[in-house]
Amino acid sequence: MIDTFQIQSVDDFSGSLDNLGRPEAALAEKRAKSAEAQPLQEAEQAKAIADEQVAAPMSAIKNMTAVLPGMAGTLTRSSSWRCRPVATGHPPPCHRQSGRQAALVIAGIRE
Amino acid sequence: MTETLIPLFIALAGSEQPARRVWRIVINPFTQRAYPLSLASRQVSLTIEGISQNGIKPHLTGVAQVKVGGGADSVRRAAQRFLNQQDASDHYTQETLSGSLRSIVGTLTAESIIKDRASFATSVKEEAEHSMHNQGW
Repeated sequence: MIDTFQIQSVDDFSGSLDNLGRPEAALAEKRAKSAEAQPLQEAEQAKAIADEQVAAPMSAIKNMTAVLPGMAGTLTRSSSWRCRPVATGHPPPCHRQSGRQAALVIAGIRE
Repeated sequence: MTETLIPLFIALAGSEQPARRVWRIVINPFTQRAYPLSLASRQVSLTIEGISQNGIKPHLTGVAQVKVGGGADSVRRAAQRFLNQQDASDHYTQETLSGSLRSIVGTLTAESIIKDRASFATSVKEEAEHSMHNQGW
């Protein structure tokens, strides 16, 4: 009578058995790479959005900074009819006013 | 050695009379001969190359533990077949198991051989048991 019978090994010299599990191995590798790439992609997207949010106000500030000297000159010229030199030695009130307007414009941009 | 492991069998020389299991007997040296028959378990290794159902040629290695059956019928059958040629019994067992292994491999796919090795071994055992039972194993 046969007490026990065990298969010790199953080999294949043509390599067919080795290739049986290759599709599953490739699928597992693909899933692992995809799982790794997804958080990286999300992080890159979040970084790009954050950079864009920072870059838009900065470019507006740059543009306004380029425009402001001309605007200040315009303001000074437009109010020059009221801005006459006074012999008191103090700066004329129109200069203080145009400076205040420029500060208000910059504050508005920053907001 | 104990009596249960090596019972004594006698067979009449030159006659077709079946061997008899006895524990104590007087042997007539002119007409009778006595042989010990081991009931111990023995290990048989086998290696085959079969063809699976899907055409793959697997190279299988297996090992079996076999022994003469404990029943009186099995002992009598084994004594009748292998009493004075017990070395040949290993070869017989090996060939029987190899044949069963090949026939079962042909009915299974390579995937099922690998995935369910236990049921595969059970199928081989069941297949071989029938023919071995007739020989007292």
